[in-house]
Amino acid sequence: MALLEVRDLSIEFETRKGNLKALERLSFTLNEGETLGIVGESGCGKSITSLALMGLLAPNARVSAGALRFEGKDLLAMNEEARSEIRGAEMSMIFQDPMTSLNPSFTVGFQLEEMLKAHPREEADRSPAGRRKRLVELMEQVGIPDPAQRLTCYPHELSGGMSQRVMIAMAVASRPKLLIADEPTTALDVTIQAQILELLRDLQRRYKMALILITHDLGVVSETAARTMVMYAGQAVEEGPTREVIASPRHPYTAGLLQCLPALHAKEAPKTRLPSIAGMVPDLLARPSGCQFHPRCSRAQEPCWQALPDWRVEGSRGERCHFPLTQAGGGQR
Amino acid sequence: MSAGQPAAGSTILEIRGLKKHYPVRGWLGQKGLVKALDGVTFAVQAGRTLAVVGESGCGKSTLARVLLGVEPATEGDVRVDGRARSELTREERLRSVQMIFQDPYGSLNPRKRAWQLIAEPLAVSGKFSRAELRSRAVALMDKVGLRAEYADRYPHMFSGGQRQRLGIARALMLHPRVLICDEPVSALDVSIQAQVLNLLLDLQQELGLSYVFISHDLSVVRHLADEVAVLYLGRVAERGPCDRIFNDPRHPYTRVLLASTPKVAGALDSGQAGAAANDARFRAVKGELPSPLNPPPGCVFHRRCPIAGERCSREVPAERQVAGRVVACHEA
Repeated sequence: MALLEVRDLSIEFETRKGNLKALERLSFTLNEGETLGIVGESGCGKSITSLALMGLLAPNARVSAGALRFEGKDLLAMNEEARSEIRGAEMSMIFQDPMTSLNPSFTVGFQLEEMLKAHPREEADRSPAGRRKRLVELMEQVGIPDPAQRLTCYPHELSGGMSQRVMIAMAVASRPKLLIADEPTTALDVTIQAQILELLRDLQRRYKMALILITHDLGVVSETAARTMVMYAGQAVEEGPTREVIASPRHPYTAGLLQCLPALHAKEAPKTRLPSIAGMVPDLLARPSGCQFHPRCSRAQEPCWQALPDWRVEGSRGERCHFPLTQAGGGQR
Repeated sequence: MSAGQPAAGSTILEIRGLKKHYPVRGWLGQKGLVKALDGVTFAVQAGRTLAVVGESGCGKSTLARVLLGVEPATEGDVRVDGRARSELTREERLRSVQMIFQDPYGSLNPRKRAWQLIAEPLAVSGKFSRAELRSRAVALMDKVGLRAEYADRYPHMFSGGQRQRLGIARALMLHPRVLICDEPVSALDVSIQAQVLNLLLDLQQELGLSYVFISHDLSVVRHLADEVAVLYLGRVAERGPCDRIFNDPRHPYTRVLLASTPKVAGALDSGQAGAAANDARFRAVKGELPSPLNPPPGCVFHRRCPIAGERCSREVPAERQVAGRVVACHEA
């Protein structure tokens, strides 16, 4: 049984300007211990997906799904109480900006201890002395030097990297089966980013935790996730093993994204024009007809503006395109 | 400056031993000194791009402010076309260096129309009529790829990429020789980022502009720069021609930066990404940037450095020539 099963998940918001479809018929499954990278540009639906999984959407969101199951339990049928039992304990989340995710008026230790009180996982978590010991262990585990002293710090006394480590300690305190990381390193410098990604990989191995890594950075996904899903305008456009998706993208959007990236060790001469994707992401309140990418796609033909392509699965890969790139055509520069 | 385009390759902007120190008052009145820039030397050639790379707190933004002239240097001067900036008239200063900012949302006055924003640097002189200003602004809009119909729009009606184009047009209004670009594409989505980078490349070709390109993104720098200066805690760790530094980095910090940058494996970065960039010693380096108030003695990088020797904790390494670039490291 898959740890997480998402089938035809859609999210709509009723706004003054009309009905906004933030997410349309998203499907994927995630097994225990697996890492899925979700990539896409702003407004593609990455973050709304994670909020929906956590049950943290605003009350005006209308969620519908063919299935949304976590360990076989139907998440949508649960009441708020049952949901909050799972949230933080079985699945937890870390956010992009660690500085604003911590409460500035309480010490790091106090906030971390709250987590242990709310979701005790070990016998030690039930007594103050036991918790004390666990806190130090947790801080050590996420690589915070001088952990006992750091517990008495307030968030503003920590750097961005340290705050993100504290957030991670909080998220893994109850040994969740699923960790959702929404742009966990975007606000951090590259050397700190490398440290945090290493830490996530390490914790994942140790706890056999499944990880959903949401990012705009194809490099981060490529180094961390075994599988990748590319999203555009609230829809998944392509999914598959990361290496295959990058080496031979099937959807023209994925291919375009890869070509836009300047390479660190490019073979071509520097200072030449980069290939770019013309135009911009559609307004979700005024979506184009048919395939959402067709106004920017150089391969678009009549079927593309007439009908939204179906999600097609073939072996380990899935895509939503009328005219997918073939092996020979894709991913070449 | 009435002279035409300078010959390509001549030095247009030069700093030598530039220092910028900020005094800091503690709560008991004791003073510290933040050395935001501590002896930075480099030169920018006409029509070329110098990239300044480094992590937050390394002094990149202070450097931009000093180069632009909004903050005086503590020591050392900025020389433009061979003349000290202090000798230039106000107008010459404005026409020598202009800047574009990271945040296209925050750097444009929301109550002004696009053409007014673009023309503002020229409008302050009071020498031009409204019609003249507008026609000049519209001409520049065309140059940066914005449609003339957009001239009367307000900034909120533009997308992020378009706003960055607005910022570029505004900076070009006074025909500067040097454009300082402070993280100009970091706030943009990848597909839009490529469009703006292409625009910068086109403008450089067409106008012979020089760029000081401040960025934390090494892939972008590799694509755009002729020369690179790697900054760490207010000092230059390594500087020299872009291809040398990327293909054969000598300073351990440069190697750490290259190794830490996530690579899109399997497709674009295959090939020479190996060797230098993937040396395991330089991956996931320990620790964080030290406090600039209390920098470590000797080489400021030695506590995080995977190859630091005993000498590194005592002596500040001097800049020296190694393999066609300048490196400040005892072990390089």
